[in-house]
Parts: sequence; structure tokens; C-alpha cells
Amino acid sequence: MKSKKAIALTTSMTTNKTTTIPSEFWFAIARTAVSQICQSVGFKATQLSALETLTLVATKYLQAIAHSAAAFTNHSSRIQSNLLDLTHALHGVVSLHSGGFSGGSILHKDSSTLLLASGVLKDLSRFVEFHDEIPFAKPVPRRNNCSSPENSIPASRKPDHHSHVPKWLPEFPEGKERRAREERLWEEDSVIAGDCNDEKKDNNKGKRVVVVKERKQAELGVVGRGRVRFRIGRGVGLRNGDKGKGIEEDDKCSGFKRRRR
Amino acid sequence: MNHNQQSSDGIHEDDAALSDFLASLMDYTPTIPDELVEHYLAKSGFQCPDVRLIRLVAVATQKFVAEVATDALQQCKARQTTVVKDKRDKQQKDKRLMLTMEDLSRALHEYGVNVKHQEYFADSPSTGMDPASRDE
Repeated sequence: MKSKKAIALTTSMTTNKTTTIPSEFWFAIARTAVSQICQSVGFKATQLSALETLTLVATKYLQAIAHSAAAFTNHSSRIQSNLLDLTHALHGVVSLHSGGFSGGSILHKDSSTLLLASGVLKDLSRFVEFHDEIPFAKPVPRRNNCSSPENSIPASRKPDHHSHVPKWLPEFPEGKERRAREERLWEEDSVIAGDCNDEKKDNNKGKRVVVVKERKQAELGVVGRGRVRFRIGRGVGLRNGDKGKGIEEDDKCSGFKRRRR
Repeated sequence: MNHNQQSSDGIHEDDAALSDFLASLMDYTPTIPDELVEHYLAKSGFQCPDVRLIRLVAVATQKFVAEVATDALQQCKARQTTVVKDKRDKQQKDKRLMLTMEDLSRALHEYGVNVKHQEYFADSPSTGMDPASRDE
């Protein structure tokens, strides 16, 4: 009867399903990790209810540490937690379930030796030193890849961009949106932006180069004249311009044509 | 004077040990994956880019689970010993080490977690009733 209820650890490791609900997904990952720990301790099989209970306790334990550390951090008027906050949190949680720890009596004797005299950190150090490393069975996707309802962090945030801004704040608007609402940069002013658009639309490369060059010269005030239209390979086409300048531009066009050939 | 020098030497040793421990966390891969720990930490408002602290939390949780599981294993072995003394013929069947709710609740009780599983699961309102009264 018990053998029917029992689920082999190896079987439970392979049956973790990646559901669409993130909390279930992460709980399944935690269940697999806890079953690996149980297997390393010496268990050969487990009841599903016992495994889920232990997993729940483990996740609650992890969250208790995190809550306590975050509370210490906020109490110190900081956003990012550090080792001191985490050590305080570990002391609180460990003393709750173990009834104390080594070095607890001299812990607050001198604040500078708080980290160094911590028996909890020494125990963890011994645990890391003497226990075999059992990595998780498979790689786990990153948190930002999942769109969880409690995840308010924008997935497209660049890691090093505005690193002083906390992650839970919404992302700053991109440069183009901000400029479109408030102001335009000089580079995006109508003349040059129009040139850029013309450049994209124009298929005739030779004509494009000449027109852009002419407009830039006109903008800089080098050549003071009206609108001039050019036709490549058909001689000179002038409108509202004098002949001498048109010939000059025609020479440029023919020179360009020669270069292209 | 000598006493101060000894205490400063002790502090330097502890400092070096702590630095070594934190450095060893960079190479150590806990069984609980970093992504899982990051998820639960972020859910609780813990924010830290340092992967060593994330692994420290993972190691602390792993140590706690391993301790609970070890206690449950001891409970399981002790229970099996008494069972074997009573019934020799079931020795082979009960030799298998299985994490049961009974052992786990005893182990967790030592850590201040009171776990009780249901005595039975009533899948219908008439479950558990006297068969004579059920027929009526």
C-alpha cells in the first residue's frame, strides 16, 4: 500500500512540468531541488505529500530570510541589501528554529566583529566546505523571461543603464519618445531629417548625392541661389537659376558620372 | 598590549576566513538554483546584484532542508528498527528508506514547524459513516 503512495525520487525529478503559471513553475523547480537534497541525504523514495510539505517549508524559509533581510535594509534607509543585512536576517531565522547558535553571546559585543564572529556564517562555511556539490539537474530560465503577474520589472531593462534607479520602478522612456513629446534635437531638425528621408526614398544614387551636397551648401550659405533641378545624362535642366551656376553644377554631375563609370 | 595584538590577529584570521568563504561561493553551485532564489528574493523585496549573497541564501536554505531531511531519515530508521523487532517477516519491505509524512512532521516539530496531515480524506459526505446508517 505504501509502495503505491510512494513516488520514486528519480521519477519526481523528471515529472516537473513547466506550467504556464509562474508560481507553479517555480514551486516545481523547488520541489525538484528539495528532492535532490533528500536523495543526497539518503532517502530512496518519498511520499508526494511529504515532499510538497518540505518544499513549502523550504520556500517559506527562504522567503523569511528575504523578508527579514529586506526589513533590515529598509530600516537602514537603503535599497540594496548587503552582507550585514543578510547576516542579521540569518541570525534571526536560525535562532528561531534552532534556539540559538554558536557565538551568539558575543555577537553584539563589538559591531565591527559582527560578521566575523557569526557562528551562522561559520556553520555555512563548514557546510560548503564539507558537503559535496550537487548542482541542479537542468538549467533554469531567468526570471525576466517569464511574465509573472507579480513581476513588475520591465523585461527590456538594460542592466547597466541607470543602475542607481531601483528595479521596481518603471523604466524611463526611450530617447525618441521623450524628444517627440518635448523637444527635438538639432540633428533631427526638419532640413536634415528631410534629407535623410529623401535619401531613403531616392533610388537614384548619383542624383541623391548631388542634391544633398547642394542643399548642405545652401544651408551653410556658401551658394546663394534659388532652387535648381538636375537631370543626369540629359544635359542641363534649370529652373529659376542663372546659367553659369547651372553649368558649374552640370560639370559636377558629369564628373560624378565619369567617376561612376 | 599583547592582548590587543592577539585579538587583532584573531580578527585578521576571521576576516580572511570570511573573505575566503565568500570567494568560495563564486565557485560553489548550490542545489537550489540561483534563478529560483532570485525569484523568491525579488518576491520578498530583497534586492541585491551580488551573486554571492544569493548563493549564501541558497546555501542556508539547502542546509536547513538537509538538516530536516537528515532528522526525518533518523526518524525513519528508528521506526524501521522497532518495526523489524516486532515483525521479522516485513523486514525486506520496510527496508526501503522513504520520506513519509509521519517522519517529516516529527522532524519538523523539532524546528518549530507543526505539521499535521489529515487523518483521512473524505471524498464524499457519506465517507466514514456507519454502513448501517448510510443505508437509511
